[in-house]
Amino acid sequence: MFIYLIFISQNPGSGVKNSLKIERAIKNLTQEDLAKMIGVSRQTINSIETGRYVPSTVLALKISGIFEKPVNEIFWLEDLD
Amino acid sequence: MKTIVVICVVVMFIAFGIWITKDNYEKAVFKKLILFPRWFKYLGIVIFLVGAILPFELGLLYEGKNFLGLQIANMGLFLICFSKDKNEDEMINLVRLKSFYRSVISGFLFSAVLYAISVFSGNEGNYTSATELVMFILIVYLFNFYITKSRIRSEK
Repeated sequence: MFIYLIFISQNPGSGVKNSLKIERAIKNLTQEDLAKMIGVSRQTINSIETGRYVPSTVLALKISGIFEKPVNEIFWLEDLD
Repeated sequence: MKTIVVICVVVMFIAFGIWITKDNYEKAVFKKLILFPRWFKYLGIVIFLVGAILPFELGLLYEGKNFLGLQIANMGLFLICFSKDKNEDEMINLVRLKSFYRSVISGFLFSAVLYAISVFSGNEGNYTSATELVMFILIVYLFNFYITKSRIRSEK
């Protein structure tokens, strides 16, 4: 049971970084505005910005459509080395 | 009455079997979760309270235990657990799945620990009932889900 508790308490990084906060600032959008535009909650946007949650391809494409930039300019893989 | 219950259970199992073996089931797995409408949550709370309180008031206990109430309360918990959230998006879907995964493993550990206790205390054969196990899993799921959600909400 203790091994399980240690196992579920581990939270490795997502390995994906993003420039969502910067892009939002450029477009002068709040988290709430962006959330409404792509049909998710503000908490989801916050979790994506902080790197805790990696969005699905559909959501990433919606975000890239709003900021008029390719997906890989907004999201990129973290250099793990 | 017993025959009707058995027939209902058998029909439910057959329907479930047909559902998971039908052609496009594996495609449905990748879609958003199918959940009850949001108002089912309030209905679930009412059913849970009825199941938890009413049998004591009406004297519907069997050998001092609220078996009927537990079944009704489980139905209420089921509706609370599987009704839509205010903002049911893909992240909440993921939180649901993770919470359910954790609650099922906790349920397995719960039954194993109770069995171990019964063996050590000399009451071998005193197994956890399915109703109690389902209730434990649903309650752990609810705690897991709402605690994770409140943590996400409070993080800056």
